[in-house]
Amino acid sequence: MRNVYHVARRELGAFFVSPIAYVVTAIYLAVTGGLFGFILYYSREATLRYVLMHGVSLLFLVLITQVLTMRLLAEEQRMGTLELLLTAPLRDWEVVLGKFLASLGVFLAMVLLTSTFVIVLLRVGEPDIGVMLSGYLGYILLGTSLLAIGVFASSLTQNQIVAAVVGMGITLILWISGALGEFVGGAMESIVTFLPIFDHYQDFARGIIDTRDILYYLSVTVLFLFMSVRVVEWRRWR
Amino acid sequence: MIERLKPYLGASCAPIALIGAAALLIALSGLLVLGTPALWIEVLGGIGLALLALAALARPSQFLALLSGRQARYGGNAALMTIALVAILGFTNYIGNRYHWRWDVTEDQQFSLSEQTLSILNSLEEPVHVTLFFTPLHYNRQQAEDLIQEYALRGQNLDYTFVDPDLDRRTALEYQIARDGTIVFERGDRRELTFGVQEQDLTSALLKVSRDEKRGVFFLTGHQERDPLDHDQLGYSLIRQFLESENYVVDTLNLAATATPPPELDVLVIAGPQQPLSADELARLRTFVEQGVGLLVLIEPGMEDPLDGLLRDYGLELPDTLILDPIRSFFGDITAPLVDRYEFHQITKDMSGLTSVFPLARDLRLVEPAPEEWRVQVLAFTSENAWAETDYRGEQVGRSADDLGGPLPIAAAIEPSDSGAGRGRMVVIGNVSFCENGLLNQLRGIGNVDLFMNAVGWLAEDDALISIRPTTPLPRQVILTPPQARAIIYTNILFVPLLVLLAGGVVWWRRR
Repeated sequence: MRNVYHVARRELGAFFVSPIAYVVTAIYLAVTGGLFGFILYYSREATLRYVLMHGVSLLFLVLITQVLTMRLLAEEQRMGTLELLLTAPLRDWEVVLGKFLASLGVFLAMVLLTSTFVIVLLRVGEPDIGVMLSGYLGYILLGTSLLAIGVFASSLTQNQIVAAVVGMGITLILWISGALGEFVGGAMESIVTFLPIFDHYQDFARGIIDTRDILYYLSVTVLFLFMSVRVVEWRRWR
Repeated sequence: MIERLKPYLGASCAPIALIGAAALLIALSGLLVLGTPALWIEVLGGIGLALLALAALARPSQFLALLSGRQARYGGNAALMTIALVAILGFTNYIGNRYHWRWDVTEDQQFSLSEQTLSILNSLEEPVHVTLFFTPLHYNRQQAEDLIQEYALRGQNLDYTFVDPDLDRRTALEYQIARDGTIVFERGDRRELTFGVQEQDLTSALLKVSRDEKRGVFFLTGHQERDPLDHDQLGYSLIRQFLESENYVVDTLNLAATATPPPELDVLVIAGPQQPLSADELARLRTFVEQGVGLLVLIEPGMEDPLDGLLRDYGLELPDTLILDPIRSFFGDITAPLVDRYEFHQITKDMSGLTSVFPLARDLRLVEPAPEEWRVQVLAFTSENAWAETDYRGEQVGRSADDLGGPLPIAAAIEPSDSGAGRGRMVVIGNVSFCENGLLNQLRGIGNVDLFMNAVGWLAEDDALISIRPTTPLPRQVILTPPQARAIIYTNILFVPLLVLLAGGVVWWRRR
């Protein structure tokens, strides 16, 4: 685990000395903040539910997570530094996990900065604390899954842009896969309708914590991280 | 044989493998599109596999190299491990879906269904399908979705679909949907509609559609009342048809011959008796009410109270008057007041926008002081211009000093004030002709039938439903003054992001 920590620290450092983390965070806060302000003004309801579930903020979350992760493994491959990293006394999974945790750290910092919304709501109204907490829990779980997808996409290619596009593609396919349910029918239907990644977020946003949704997000995260490790390992032998 | 063919095959090995792969691909696509295996798919798939095998046999060394190369070994290994993980995760999620915990963390337990609803959902034996007709921007859509999701989760036999009636015109027509926000419960060929999105509304519709036991609506006979079998202008046969189409059993009952309420009796309709009821009959009626029978009393002008003040004990008096309304009347007929605004009640809550016409109506008077045990609520008033003419038999009618002025109560609902006491409810309407065949044939699209059917529905309601009270979400309202709103928006759009950029700038500056 110490190696994971070192990789994560190095990567986190790289994030915060490069302008990308600041620009991404600033834009993220501006977009969600604007959304928050307008929705609060028009809905007149002290809740974060509409902000976190809004199509724009979900789409933006997809973009942000893919941008945060697109560099992680693709860049190393392009620079040829992945070989260096892999020949170091590090296991493949330690590299992948470390980089994933670094992106998660940046994401958590961004989410933490949206606590200004909570402060505003507590000042002007009486929001339901339970709903806000479950909303944030779901948001973080969702973001974690999206980051894992991004890490996987980044492991596939040397090109950051391609990595981001692939990551978005996987996410969007997972997003709309539920619509296939009616076509496949039968036992496949219950599988396909279980896949859409944002559906599992709805309960959290409404104020319901369901173990199925937690399990789903953890499964997606584990699966994509595992596949990233396999891809990295495969590259080593190529 | 292969050995002999090898020289010929060797050259064309690549195309054969390619054609084989293509055939296999087409077969798989066919299976996906058709959904079921067909003969040609099996044949094509077989051919594809055979061609691939042939190609492999022709160049065994190449094929083996492809499979056993280092890259392939690790690739195949990785693929195998991934498939194994997918299987493990799939199984975990499958188990997790069957046994899961669900916490409602809202402060007011917004998403927790009542015991009654849960027991009804658990006892569903046949599948119930719910179709919710909502346009995407309907103001109740979110609430309906929140609630029906919980129903579908708790009830194994209940599923639902949302239909946008503007987009899917065909389905909307098939279900004869006239209104955005209609929810249809369906079991087999039985359908039940509701427009409400409270738990009480949905459970009520669910109970009605899932229940095979029919509710009995009996019409009182023996005093020249309107007859549910009479197809004439004055008859009530159309109402009988409406009742039967909503799964009620319609029958008649003579109080002189019936001492105790028959078990299948849920609602007794007294539709315009022309003779007064005897004291014994009234006593029996009283015991019926005590035993939980719902009473729908329709009374027209032309005689003193045929129930001889029975309703006074429940909070209503029925003076012999005729309502005249020179302004808000049906096409200028001042004896036919019309109502298009209703007081809020479960009976009338879905009737906004519908006009009800009451030709030859008498008014109801609330007893002062109101009896403690009963709660009386007026359902509909006439306009302010109406008055209750007492001397309507005179040669000239005109408003005199002793005629009570509008708004006059024309329909009222009575229920025990301590809910759940098990005693019957009552609905009293100062009119009979509003549901006679002649009028219903002549006028379409009026609220008269809705009023009658909703009243019967309310009277026949299950005791279980009465105790489900709507949960009103705690108010989370925020009223922002424009400066506050601007402060919030600018802070979040500009100041906080700028602060972040500034921090980035400082880091960049220091590293430079």
